[in-house]
Amino acid sequence: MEKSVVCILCPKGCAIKVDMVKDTVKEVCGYGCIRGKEYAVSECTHPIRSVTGLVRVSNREYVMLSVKTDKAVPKEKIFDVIEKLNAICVDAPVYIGDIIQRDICGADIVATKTVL
Amino acid sequence: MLIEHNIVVIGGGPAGMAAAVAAFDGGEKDVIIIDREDETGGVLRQCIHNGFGLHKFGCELTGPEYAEIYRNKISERGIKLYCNTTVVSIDNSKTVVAQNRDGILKIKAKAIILAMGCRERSRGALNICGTRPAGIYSAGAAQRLINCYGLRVGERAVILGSGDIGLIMARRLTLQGIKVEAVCEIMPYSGGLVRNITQCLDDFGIPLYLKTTVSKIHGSKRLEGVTIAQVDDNNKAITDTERYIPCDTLLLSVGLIPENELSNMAGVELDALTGGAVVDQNRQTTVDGIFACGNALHVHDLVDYVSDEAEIAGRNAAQYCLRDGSFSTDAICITKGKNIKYVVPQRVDLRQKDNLAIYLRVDKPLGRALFTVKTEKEIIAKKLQIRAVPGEMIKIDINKNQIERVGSNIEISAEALN
Ligand code: SF4
Repeated sequence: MEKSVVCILCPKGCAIKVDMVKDTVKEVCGYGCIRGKEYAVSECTHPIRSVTGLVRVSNREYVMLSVKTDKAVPKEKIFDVIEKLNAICVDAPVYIGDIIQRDICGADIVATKTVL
Repeated sequence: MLIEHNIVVIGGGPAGMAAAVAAFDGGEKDVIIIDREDETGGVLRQCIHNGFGLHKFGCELTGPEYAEIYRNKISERGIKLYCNTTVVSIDNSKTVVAQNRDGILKIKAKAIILAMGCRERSRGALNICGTRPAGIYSAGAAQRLINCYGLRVGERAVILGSGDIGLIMARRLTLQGIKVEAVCEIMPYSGGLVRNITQCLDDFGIPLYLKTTVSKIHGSKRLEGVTIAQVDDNNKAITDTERYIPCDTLLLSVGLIPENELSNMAGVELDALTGGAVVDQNRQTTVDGIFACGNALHVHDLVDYVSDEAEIAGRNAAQYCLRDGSFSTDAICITKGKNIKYVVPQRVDLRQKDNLAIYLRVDKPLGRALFTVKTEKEIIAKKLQIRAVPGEMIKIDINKNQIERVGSNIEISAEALN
């Protein structure tokens, strides 16, 4: 069976074709670079996504801390990550690059901005 | 109070920051940035998603992270910032009048870099009939309310317009627990990047309806629902395709308009096709010593390209100051031919023997396309593009050896290949 994958790794958005037999990848074509090939294979076997989101700051009004997962998590875990983020509340100051929480669905949560 | 600075950059978003850094590194150390917000970064501050910086830094960054890199560059260089300061006027003698809590600031500049960015088209520009309830936001405004202030904009939403901000917001609303019923696009294709359709809509099963618009808005105090309808070839709603969708939130992602009120005040010539200034390859406008870059010049799809362009403007503004205004405003024109929506720069100063990069957009999806750059006499460059769509800016390089042979205006056209 042939699957079509749009690579999301860069703005080119290559249309990649993956030839699958059952759950194994037979052939990949149409990728613009090697990262895209790997992405297409993972997309057809176990899709993953990086998640960006928001965390509340307890001691600042109307200020949100933007965060990201430090690596991609399984696609079906996106909402689990968001739910965990919704439950977190940090105290400012927080600095860009700070780890806010470890091991949420296998990834660490990292601050993407500084809140003084 | 009249003060003097050699280069005044108006706007501290990605364009303004990159321009200021490039001007400084280009040898002109007396550079200031004026921004009306409390912090630099512009729209990047609210773009908490990732996908920035791949081209410029080789890694995937979120908007705030991308802004932080430039903020650091600015503080490392000691470039002076005036935040919470609004420029109220500029003129062709390069006097900048700005206002902040301390009062009025009058700055005499040698060069000005226009980096005011763009703003969103609003409901008023669309002629959607119906009432005027609360719950209708431009997509960027909703993005700011959610991502910067942590506010909840509604419970159930419809998005009109499938440009990148609309797509990104469809995902953000979904992640924040707001149900997105539909994304409607009046054109037969989306204006956003394909990757955003995949990761923002398909990942969450959000339907995208092409050739579809919102034909009516319902509700008195708060939005109660919208009527959507398919459109005919003249973009008129087809009545018997109308369908009611209950929702309390409507986001409009229907285009961005370069902000150029200040440019007008200084007598800068604007291009009706881009909505920004007419510039030469140095990003100098038709007013000597006034440069423009970023979304104030033309709306970009990638911030990385904004930075690149701003660096050109910054570098050349520095050159302008150092050489005391020796650039000529006398240049040949680059015009759009078949299937092209606009080109930037619109003019070329032929005395500069450098490679030339021309940025353009096509006016409809062409698929595989061949671009031809020609003078009145001959073809000077060709480029084959695997996929040409209006949502993606295309760059065409012209070798300096070719430029030397150019004596007349240049026209660029595109042809779809099968
Ligand atoms: S395959 Fe490579 S070039 Fe193509 S979209 Fe993916 S990352 Fe970009």
